[in-house]
Amino acid sequence: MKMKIRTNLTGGIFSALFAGVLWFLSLGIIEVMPNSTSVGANFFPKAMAVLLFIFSITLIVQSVFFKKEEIIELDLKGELRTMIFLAIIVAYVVLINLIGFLISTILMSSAVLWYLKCRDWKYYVICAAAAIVIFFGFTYGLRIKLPKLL
Amino acid sequence: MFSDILAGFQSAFMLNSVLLMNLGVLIGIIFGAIPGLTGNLAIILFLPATFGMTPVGGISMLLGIYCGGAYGGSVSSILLGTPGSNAAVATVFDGYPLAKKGKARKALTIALIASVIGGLISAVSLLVAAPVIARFALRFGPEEYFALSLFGLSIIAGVSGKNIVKGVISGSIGVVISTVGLDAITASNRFTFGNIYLLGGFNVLGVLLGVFALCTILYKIFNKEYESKVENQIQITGTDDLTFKEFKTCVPCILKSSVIGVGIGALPGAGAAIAAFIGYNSAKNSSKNREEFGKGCIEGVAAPEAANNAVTAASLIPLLTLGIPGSVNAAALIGALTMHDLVPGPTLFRNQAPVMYAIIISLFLINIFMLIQGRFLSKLFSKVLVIPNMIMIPILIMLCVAGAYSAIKSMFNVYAMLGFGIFAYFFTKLKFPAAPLVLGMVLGKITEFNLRRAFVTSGNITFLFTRPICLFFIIMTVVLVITLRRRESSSKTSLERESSEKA
Repeated sequence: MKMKIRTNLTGGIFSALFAGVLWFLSLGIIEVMPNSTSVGANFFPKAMAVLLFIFSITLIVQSVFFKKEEIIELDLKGELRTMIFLAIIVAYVVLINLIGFLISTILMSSAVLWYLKCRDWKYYVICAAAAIVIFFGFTYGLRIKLPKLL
Repeated sequence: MFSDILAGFQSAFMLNSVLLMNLGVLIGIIFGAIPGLTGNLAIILFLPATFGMTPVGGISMLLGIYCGGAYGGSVSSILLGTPGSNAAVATVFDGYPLAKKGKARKALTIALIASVIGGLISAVSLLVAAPVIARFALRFGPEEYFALSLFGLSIIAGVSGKNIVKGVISGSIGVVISTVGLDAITASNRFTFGNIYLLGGFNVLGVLLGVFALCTILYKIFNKEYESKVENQIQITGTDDLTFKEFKTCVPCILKSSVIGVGIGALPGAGAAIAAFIGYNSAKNSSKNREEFGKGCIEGVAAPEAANNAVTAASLIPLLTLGIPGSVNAAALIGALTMHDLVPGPTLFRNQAPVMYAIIISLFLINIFMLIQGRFLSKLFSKVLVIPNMIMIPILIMLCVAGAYSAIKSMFNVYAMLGFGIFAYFFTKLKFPAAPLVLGMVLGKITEFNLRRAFVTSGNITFLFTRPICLFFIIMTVVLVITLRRRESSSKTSLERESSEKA
């Protein structure tokens, strides 16, 4: 199942919204004293908000008035496949805090291989070995303690 | 200065540094060879591994990856007909046909020798030019640094792809990301939302891993690249090696392409791919065997390889002397340099001269090691091409998570990597380029800091037109934007024309 998206129009709308949010958030940044000639902490964020808004409108105008558009066809099946894969990665990152890097990484590699329909046991062993090498390499080789089982 | 160079020799020739350079070259060639992986990705993935190393050892390893990656793309170009990186596209035109004629070893050998010569000439240019430019840049005040940062930001024009408006939006978002955290001048909280991990801003490595590494993995899943198998790989036979006479015929085009590569590499934004293509075209136009190009001419392999490797050290000139990353690879190296307390810019050559010379000398050694490894390990590199994507995907994820965690020893950076990876995936789906976002983030801090300092000393923005060096950079910015846009559209047109002629 596919869906067509006008990237200039869509991108322009989202970046215009982002520019608006950025402007309002910038108002909360502390300003400098009025008589100073220097530029305050909120100057750059506000300037970027204005620049972003101008170029977002340019993109929308390109799409709507000049018909200059890059259309993509979104493959919804492919996106679903990617989102499920992403859910595995998110679960992996959450698990690291609970059961440590080594075990969660071995579980992640097995889950990813299973999801990608790999049924060759050698691949599971290679990835588990890679997890062990990376864990011990970082911990004892580079002396960076990765999260452990609590 | 001579004592600094001698001290640099000493550091570069230490066993630890030599071993790390070799490791870096090996990793770089492997990553460069495998289609879908790049030397830039390898730099980002292995950057955290350099934290526990000495500055010279760590930076040398990353430079080894950089140079090895530039050559590695030619392996898959020649043996598979698929470029390992953008910079190796032009190598396919003659490399693959030459390999199909049973001369794969000849093609790989000339690609290697041309890459090494290009890399060495590039290292000479860095050794000669960098100290001179650094001494000149010591005269810069905040006004000049601001104008220079604007010049650096203009390279966004070269990496924006088809639509420069999208490139500017991407770069602006990058600059916004750079403002997160405590303001350096007034210590105000900006967009921290009460999170202590954001007080120092987003960590560059977390952003790089998310935007480049995690996003690449998500695209591999989307495109089902884990199912693809390497077919029709050409085998290297031992009977078709390069002769001295053939090498002699390639010397003029190798030298010419190397000079082209150095010139383009030293200019921010143009990149190795453009250098390779211009080198190829130039060799074709001046060759006596012009009609052989595209059918397996060894000059057609030598020229783009010399050009793309000549970009490597030359692209470090603006980075080391002015603190301006001339490419995305250089932006990744800024992260490595600052993590080793080496702040890129003119003061680097004043305060850390022995370390700088050690790094420059290591570039010479790296190219020699690349010659040795490429010559004796070519069969290993050809076997690397058949590593299944299915194994690489989980291993890349592990490296990303471990790397992101190790940057600030906190899971927050892993969450940030995840967030930026997801954002970059949808962002690039809408055809926004990712490279300007990273460049904007890296240069945004320098630009803002110097603008605000310039306002304190000068009072208003007219310094851009009244101070001669500032005016020079403003003119260069305009010229660079126009040149890059013209070059982008003309090289893409020529590339499409060459590809359709091949088809």
